[in-house]
Amino acid sequence: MKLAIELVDVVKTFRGQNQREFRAIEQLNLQIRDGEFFSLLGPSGCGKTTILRMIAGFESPTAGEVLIHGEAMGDRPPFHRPVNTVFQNYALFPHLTVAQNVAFGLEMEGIAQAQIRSRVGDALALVKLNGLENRRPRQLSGGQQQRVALARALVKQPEVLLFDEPLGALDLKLRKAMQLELKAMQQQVGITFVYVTHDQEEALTMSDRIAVLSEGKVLQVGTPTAIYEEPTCRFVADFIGESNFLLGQVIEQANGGLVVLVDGELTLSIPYEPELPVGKVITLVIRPEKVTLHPQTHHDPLALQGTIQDVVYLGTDTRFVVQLTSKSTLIIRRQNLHPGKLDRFTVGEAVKIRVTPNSMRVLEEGSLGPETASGVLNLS
Amino acid sequence: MRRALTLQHRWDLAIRLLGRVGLWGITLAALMFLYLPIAILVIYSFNRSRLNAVWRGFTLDWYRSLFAGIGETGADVITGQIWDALFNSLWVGGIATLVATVFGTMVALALERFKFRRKTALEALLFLPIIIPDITMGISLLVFFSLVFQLVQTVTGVRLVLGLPTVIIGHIAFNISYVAVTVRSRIAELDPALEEAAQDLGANEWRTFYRVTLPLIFPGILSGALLAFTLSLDDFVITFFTAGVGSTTLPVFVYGMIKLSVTPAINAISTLMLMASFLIVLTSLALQRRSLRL
Repeated sequence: MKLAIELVDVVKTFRGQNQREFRAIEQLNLQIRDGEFFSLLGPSGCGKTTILRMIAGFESPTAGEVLIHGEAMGDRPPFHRPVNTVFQNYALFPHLTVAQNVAFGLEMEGIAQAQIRSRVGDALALVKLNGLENRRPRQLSGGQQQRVALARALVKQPEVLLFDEPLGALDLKLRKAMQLELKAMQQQVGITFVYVTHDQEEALTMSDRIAVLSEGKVLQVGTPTAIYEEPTCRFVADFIGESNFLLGQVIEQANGGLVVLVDGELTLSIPYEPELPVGKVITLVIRPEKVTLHPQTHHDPLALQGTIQDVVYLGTDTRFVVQLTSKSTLIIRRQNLHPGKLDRFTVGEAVKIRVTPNSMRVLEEGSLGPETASGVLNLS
Repeated sequence: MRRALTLQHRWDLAIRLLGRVGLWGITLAALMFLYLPIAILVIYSFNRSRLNAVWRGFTLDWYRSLFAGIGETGADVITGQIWDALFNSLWVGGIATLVATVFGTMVALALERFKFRRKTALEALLFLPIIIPDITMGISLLVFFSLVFQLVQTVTGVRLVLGLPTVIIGHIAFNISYVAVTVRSRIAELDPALEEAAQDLGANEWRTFYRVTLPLIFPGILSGALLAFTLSLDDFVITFFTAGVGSTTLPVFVYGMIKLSVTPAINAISTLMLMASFLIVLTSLALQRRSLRL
């Protein structure tokens, strides 16, 4: 398989104002395949933009190597790299017209005027901006500016296109539309897209593969489905979508599965391949939409007991906060399929919560860290 | 209760009225203080009387006397000297502005775009010519030039004297700071991502500079240049110390004229200089505003 970009043992440190070193990227290894839509996803300050800037050539790694199509980039300046960037705030040249902005990169290559004109026309047609050639950037809407930035990068026919949170400044509706459009365009032109974002939904929508980053480290690389359904660590489970974390204790290991005491209350048999010692405390990840709520009268041996603490109506679904017997809370989402029955569960009501073993994900982390955002479990 | 409230209300109104009147009064007084002398100067340049003290009716004679006999042989001696001084001023202003603009822009770019050791020290040094008194600058330049001249004479035997070149060097010295400060504020507004975008699209450093950076900061450079030109045209103290025979600029000449006799012709010259400076500063401000909208 051909690789578009490879980062080998990349380290990046910055020197702060107080001369103290700050490690932005730690020993990073990453392989981006040719022709894929690859997202770098993480909270602000996780180093994703730094990675992009090292690929583009605006920063050079403190150690390690960036390879583009197998070629080591070393200290090669941005203007000698086969990649182009769509910047966060577009960075359109305010003193040039739309057509001049798009033509800029071709002029730098020394291409003949006639050819530039036709290629600029094609690029503007691709982003549906024909007729706006002679406008200045400030005369365009945010969405149009975004398209100019895209055309300006695409017209160079780069091997890799880099995106630095390009949709951040657009409103929600436009952003959703642009996400689908970008994905379609990537499939049409067939070049590698490397996309930096902090928006997990955006990454899930567009990417072939996603790398989840935190504090300069890659935590997990995988397809959107793998990242969502099979998170390999707490941070990923928490950052991508909403997660509940419950503690469990291994009671026994039997034929490809674990028998686990969940939340000190319920014994479940959960499929899990690796061997774990009996008595080990593990974390169970449960997605809010994979839990079902039932009235107290419902007979179900595989259910946890709880009390409804909060009900929030969210349009497409309703979000319940339930306190379990162990005092830990569980978030449950239920689609509003039958609008008339919205108020079936009320605050203070005792309920049964059914968790199916297949919808639980086992993490071999025995404690719930202090940074837990949702589903805090209190073991006292 | 109701009565007390009304009283309080009246008191508030009175205070507010007093405040408003006071504010207007102080503003007006400040403006008068600043502009009344200038207004008097301009008004008396149209005075028929030779004396500034009394008004004897409107005339353009003083302006006419400035322009009388230009190009003719045997023109008024004073008139000739005025025009020589004006040309000196324009020469000094033109060359000093050109050089100071180039260097000032370079300093501004270095300070705004690069990190280097002792940057803070350079920033402080840059402000020095703006804050130190003109007289200090004038004297220090004079001492500097005489030292250099002595050195040149002992080494090569050539005797150098003060003249237009020394005036120009003096003007460059203080103008670099003003240009650098003006241009720097423009560069600070420039999004560094624009330069990165240019490089990303294949422009090397030099092409990035003249295709993106320069066009975008040009209004700032121009307004810095106009400021420098005005300062150069109006400067008296530094010129006075660095000028030699035959390098009299207009302000120095006017000063000399006052010592002989105060005629309304001086008012007329001053008014013209005022107008020129005013126009240049207006242009400079307009350019700055335009650059902000870009």
